[in-house]
Amino acid sequence: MRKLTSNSQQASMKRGLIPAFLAAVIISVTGLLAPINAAQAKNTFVFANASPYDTMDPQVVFDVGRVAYRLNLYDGLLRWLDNPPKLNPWLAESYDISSDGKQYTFTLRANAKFHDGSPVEAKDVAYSIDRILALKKGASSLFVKVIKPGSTKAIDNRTVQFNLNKSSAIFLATVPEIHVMNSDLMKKHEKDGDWASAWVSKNDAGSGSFKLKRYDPAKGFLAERFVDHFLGWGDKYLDAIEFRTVKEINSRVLGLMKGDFHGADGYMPQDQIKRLMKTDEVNVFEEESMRIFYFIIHNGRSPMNDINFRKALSYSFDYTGFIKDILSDSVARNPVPLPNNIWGAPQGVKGYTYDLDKAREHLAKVKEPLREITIGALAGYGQTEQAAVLLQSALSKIGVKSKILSETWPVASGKMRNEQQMYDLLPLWKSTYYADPNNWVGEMYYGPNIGSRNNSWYQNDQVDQWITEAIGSTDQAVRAANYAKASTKVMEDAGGIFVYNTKWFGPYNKNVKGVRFCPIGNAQEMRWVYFE
Amino acid sequence: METLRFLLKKLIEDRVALLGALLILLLIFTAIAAPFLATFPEDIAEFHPPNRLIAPDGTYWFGTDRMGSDIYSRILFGARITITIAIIAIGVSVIIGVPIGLVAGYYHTWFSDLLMRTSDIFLAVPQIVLAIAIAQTLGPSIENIILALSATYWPFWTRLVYAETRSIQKETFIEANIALGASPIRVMFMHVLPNISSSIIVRTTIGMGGTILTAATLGFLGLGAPPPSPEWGRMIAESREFLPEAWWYATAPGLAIFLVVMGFNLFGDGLRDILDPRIRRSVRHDE
Repeated sequence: MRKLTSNSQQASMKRGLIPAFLAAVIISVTGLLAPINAAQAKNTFVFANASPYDTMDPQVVFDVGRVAYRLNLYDGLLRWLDNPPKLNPWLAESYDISSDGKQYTFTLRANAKFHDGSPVEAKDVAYSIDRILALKKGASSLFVKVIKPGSTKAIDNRTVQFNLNKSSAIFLATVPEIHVMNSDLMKKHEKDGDWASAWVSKNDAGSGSFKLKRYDPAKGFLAERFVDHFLGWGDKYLDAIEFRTVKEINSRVLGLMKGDFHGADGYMPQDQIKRLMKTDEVNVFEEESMRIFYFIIHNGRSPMNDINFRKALSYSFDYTGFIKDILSDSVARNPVPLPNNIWGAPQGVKGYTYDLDKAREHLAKVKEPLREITIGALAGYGQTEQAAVLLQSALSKIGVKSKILSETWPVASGKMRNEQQMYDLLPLWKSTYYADPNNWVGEMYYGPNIGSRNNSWYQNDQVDQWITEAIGSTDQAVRAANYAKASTKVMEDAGGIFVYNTKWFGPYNKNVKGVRFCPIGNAQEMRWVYFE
Repeated sequence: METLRFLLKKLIEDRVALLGALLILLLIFTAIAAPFLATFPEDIAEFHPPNRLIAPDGTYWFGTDRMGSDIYSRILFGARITITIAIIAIGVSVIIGVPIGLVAGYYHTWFSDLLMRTSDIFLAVPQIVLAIAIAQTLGPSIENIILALSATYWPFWTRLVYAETRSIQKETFIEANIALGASPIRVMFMHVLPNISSSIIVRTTIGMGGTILTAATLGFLGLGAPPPSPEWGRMIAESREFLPEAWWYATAPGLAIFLVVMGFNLFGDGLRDILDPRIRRSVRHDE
């Protein structure tokens, strides 16, 4: 009797299984389709991004490849906008700087809200900077030397006060990197003192113009317009933005041409830009940017610690061939470690030229023993390989042997922080993180930054003194003069091989309007963009 | 001499295998004579940016690449890399795999099982995945590619030799040899090995094609020879940025890989038909 029941139960279960399975399939299929249909119904902007979004935590990442979620999901007190970049009030409506330059008091807007509806308050700002200092990742290196954890005070709900150890001329320029997080929400999701890192790496605790809707590290993220954003919305806007990871250049280009993607990164190979310019579907916007291309030289290692060897290297790069032929004149020669178009850049400096006779002259004076040198390159970034190959070919003509080691960006960036593992030379870009000359020469060739952002192991007392003075001063004329002197000195010392400054060629669908380019973020802030 | 003449006769009768043999000869000839055949032999290490991405014409037969080098000349020199990788990797695999297979097949002890299970472990992981893992860990270079390929290919010969040894062991002439007091080493290398050599030769020829393809894959993934080496897989990887405009850039090395791999496969199939009548292709017009 009992057996019979269980059999019939089994049978009914089996009978029930098939429809249940079908139902599950239908639900999952429609479930998959639903967001796509919804996205298509509204106006969704799809951006094809080369780098994968491996986290949604705005405070552990500090690069341009993954800048989109920092700018669109989060707000800072201030924000860099337009080109040339200007610092604009954002979450803060005003600020005061004390006369000794150590105390910065920001007054927050009254109407700013987080995505869960709670107001943005001073305590959230204090929490955010303390979190940056505690995690020691992302942009933290900008702040650790000037702010002590816990020193930032919420005077009242709308007033926050930063108390710096020492006056810093670049502090204001770096404030936009303090992405304000919802402290109440974060504390709710904190586990074992992790500052909610596990939770926020997949979720959203911001107040930005868009609200995270869906995130998949393998695919990218989708965010919807945050209607209550403090800046309000005009009559033209996007309902949603999707940043999708598309690693292959050809897929990005074909997607743009077909209209599947409405935008992509502005640093594609010039041959592909030309191809996009020919099509009717795509507009390519051109802007002067601040992103210099140079070879890091490991100044701390023999024979590169010999200035004559470094000069021989600098005379061995075919600048004209590289800029004119390989990059079709899409960039401008930039002979110093400061972009030509930022204040403080020295004027009329000639820099090195491609001159193998001079290279041989300097090579003859080298006292250090010569050896085969290793030139790094970034796998997948064809331009770095082409630059490395071009240099190698010229070096072989003057009798310097070299080999090329092409590795991925995560491998290379790990080696850059290690004096022993670092390549002898590595071609690389330096983008804008804050529009101040310190972003380049002050980060790259400043002694105290050795091993973190000075990957050249370059140290010169005079340069250090100029930069220290420039960081401490609030007088822009003094600062400009010091950065000019420092970058000229690094160039004379051949601390690196400085090649060019980029132009940005942003490809967008022809119906896209309102793209607002800024060298910080490369036009990836989408709140002004709309479809015509 | 008689067998060689027989082989040649059979080969000439089998048009397809002959084509394969000619392709292989062409590859070897190209590799040896590259400096004489190349129109711009200096383009291996010298570049001419003003001439970059020129479509095939009378001067540049296969066009030029991203650095303005002649692709035809680079393909010729690339043949050297290809053939070096294939010969060394396959050679090492045979040297490791065949003795292990012989020993494991000849003896019937726990040691045979140990050897065979070890080779099974290697066979269990998809070969390309294992090769990628090894090459990635050791860093990109031709030497490491050879190492990765040898480390992943030897079990194929072990398997083959093991099975053949086991089946031939029961033959009367082997038993007679053992009865006469021949040492195991003598039996294995003087009597077993010559009798299974035809299968090894067939496997090796076909294996060449597979090795070249895997080496090109690793080169394509950036694990092989560093730039500016004219390795074929690397050339295809470089060309991706310039597709579809510079169609010749990927076409030339792609065709080269295709022809060489096809050559080894056709020749290997033909050899198998001639040397190993048991597994002859079913449809033959000359029979």
